[in-house]
Amino acid sequence: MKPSSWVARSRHPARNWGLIAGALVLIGSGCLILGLQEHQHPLAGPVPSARAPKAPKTKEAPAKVAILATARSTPVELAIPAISLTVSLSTLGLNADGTVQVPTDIQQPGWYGLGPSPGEIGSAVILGHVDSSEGPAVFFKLRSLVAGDIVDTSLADGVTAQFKVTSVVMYLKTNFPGQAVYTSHGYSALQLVTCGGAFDTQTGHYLSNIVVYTSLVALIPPAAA
Amino acid sequence: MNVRRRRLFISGNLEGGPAVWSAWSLSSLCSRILRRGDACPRRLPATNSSGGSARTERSSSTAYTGITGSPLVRRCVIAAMAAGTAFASVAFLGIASAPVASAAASAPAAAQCNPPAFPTGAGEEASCNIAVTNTVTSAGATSSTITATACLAAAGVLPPAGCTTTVTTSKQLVSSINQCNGIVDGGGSNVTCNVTFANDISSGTPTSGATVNQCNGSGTGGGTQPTTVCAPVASTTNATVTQCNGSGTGGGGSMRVKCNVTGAATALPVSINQCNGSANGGGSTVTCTTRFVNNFITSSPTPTSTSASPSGTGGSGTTGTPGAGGVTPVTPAGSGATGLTGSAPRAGGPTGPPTIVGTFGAVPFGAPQTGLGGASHSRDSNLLFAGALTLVGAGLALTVAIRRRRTLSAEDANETS
Repeated sequence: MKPSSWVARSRHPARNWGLIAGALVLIGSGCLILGLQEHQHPLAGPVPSARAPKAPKTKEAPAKVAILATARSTPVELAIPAISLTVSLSTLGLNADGTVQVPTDIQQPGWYGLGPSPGEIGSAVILGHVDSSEGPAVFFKLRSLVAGDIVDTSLADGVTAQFKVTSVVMYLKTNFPGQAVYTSHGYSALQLVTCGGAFDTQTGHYLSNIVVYTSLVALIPPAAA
Repeated sequence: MNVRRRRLFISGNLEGGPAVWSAWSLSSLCSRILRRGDACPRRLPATNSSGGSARTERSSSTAYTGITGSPLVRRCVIAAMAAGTAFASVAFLGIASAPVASAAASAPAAAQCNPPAFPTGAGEEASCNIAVTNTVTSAGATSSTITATACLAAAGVLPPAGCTTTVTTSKQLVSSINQCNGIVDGGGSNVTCNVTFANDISSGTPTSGATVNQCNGSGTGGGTQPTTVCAPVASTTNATVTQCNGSGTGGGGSMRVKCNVTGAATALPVSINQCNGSANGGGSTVTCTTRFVNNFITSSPTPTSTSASPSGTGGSGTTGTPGAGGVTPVTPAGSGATGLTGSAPRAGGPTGPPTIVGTFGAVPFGAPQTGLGGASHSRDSNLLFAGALTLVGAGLALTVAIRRRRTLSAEDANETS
C-alpha cells in the first residue's frame, strides 16, 4: 500500500467516527455500571459539638438544682425547632422477641410507652426512622442536633415538657447501651433514637444508632403553652 | 469546539469526573492525531485530568511511531480501553473504599480532661466521668467499652452544661485510665471526676486487691481541718489507683479534697491516675472517686424483659422527702407508673454512690431498626441518564462510521476498476 493512499484514507472521517463510537461506548458503559450500582453513603455521625459556651461568671453562689418532673401523661406532639420539626407521636411497645417496636409510619416518631413519659423522672424514649427505601424520614436531621438545642414535647394533659440536648452519641448497634438509653439517671430525661452510620446491604439496616440525650429544663403549663 | 463542549458536559455531570475526563481526552486526542495524519503515542501518557502530559508527549517527535495503517487504530482503541478500564477501576475503588462510620477503634488506654484539652486557669467547673467495662468471655474473647463524659463550664455551672460524651469500643482490654490531672490550678475551681472500672468476667476468675495511693500532699495551704476526706488513706508505690495527690493546695474551705476508692478488688489489671496536681488555686475543691465492679458471669446472658403497663395505672411511686437544704422534687400528681418517683439526695448526706431514682420500664432487647437506607443507599439517576445519552451518541457515531467506510470502499473499488 502506498503511503499516499493511506494518508488519503486516514483523512477519511470513517475511522475517527469509529474511535469516537468506541470511546462513547466505554464511557457510557461505565456510567451505566456506576449508576446501576447502589451507592452507599454512610450517614454522617453527630455534629462534633464545640466546647459549650461558658455561663457568665458571677460571684453569686450557684443556684440549687431542682429536679423537675411532672405527672405521667401521654406525649402527643414533638417539636424540635433546630431542625424545623413538629410532628405528632404514636405509642410503641415491645415486639415478641423483646425488641422495641419501631414506628410503622416513617414520618411519625413513636414514644416507647413502657417507659416513663416525657417529664417523669426517668428516661423517656422517642424513636423515629432516619429514612426508608424511598428517602429521608422524620428523624433524618436528628444527627445535626447539638448540645443546647431545645426539644419540646406536648403532653396529653396540656403541659409542654421542654428538654435541652446534652449530647448526641452514635453507637454501633452491637453495642447499643440499652441501660443508658432506657433506664433512669435520676432526673427527667428524654432520649431520641434513630439510625445512622454505615448501611449494611446484606441486612438492609444501618450498623449504628444515633441517640440524642436531653434533660428536662422547663415545664410549661397549658395556659402558657 | 463541539468536542470541548461535550467534554465539559460529561465531566460536569459525572461522579469521578477526572477519570472520565482522562478517558475522553485520550480518545479525543487520538482522534485529533488521526485527523492530522499522526499516530498515537508509542507510550501513552499517564492519565491526567489536566491532559498536560499528553500534550507534552505529543510535541516530541521521537515519541511517535511511524505512519502505519490498522495498527494505529488498534493502538488507539487499546488506549481508549485502557483509559476506560482505569476509569472503571478508580470509580469502583472509590465506591468500595467508602468510609465506614463508627468503626471500632483500639482503646487500651483511656484518657480525658487533661491539658491541653482542659485548661489550667481559674474559675472552672470540670466534671468528668469515665466508665470502662472490660469483658473477657469464658472462651477468652476480650472487648472493652469506654464511656467518657467530659464537662467544662464556669465554676458553679453544673453538668449537663458543657458536657460531651464519647463511647469507644475495642477488642482490647483497657489497662490505663488517666483523667483530671494538672488542670484548673488558677483558683476558684472545682474538679469532680469519677472512674468506674467494671470487669465482666467468667466466674472463677481470681481477683486481686486494688492498691491505693491517694491524698498525699493535698489540702495544704490553709483552711479549717480536715481539709481532706479520703478513704482509704494510703500511700502505695505503683498503686492500682493513684489519685488526689498534690491537689487542693491553695488553701480554702474545710473538706475541700474528697476522694475515695470503693470495691477494692479487681479481676483485671489496670492503672488509674486521676485528680493529681489539680485545683491548686485558692478556694478550689477536688472530689474524685474510683469504683471497681466485678461482674462474674456464669454463662451468656439471656435477654429478658418485663412487661409493664403503659397505661399508667400501675403501682404508685414512693415519694422521697428531701433533706434540709436539699433539692425539692416536684411530686407528680395523678396515677403514676410503676417505680420510684421523686426522691432526692440529702444535703450533707453520705458520700456513697448516688441512688438512681425515677420511673423504670421494660428495657427492650437489642437496638432499634429505624432506617432502611433510602437516603444513603440509592441509585444515581444522573449517571444513568448520562450513560444512556452517551451510548446513543456512540450508536450514532458508529452509524456514521459504517456509512463513511462503505463510501470509502466504494471509492476504492472504483479506483481499482
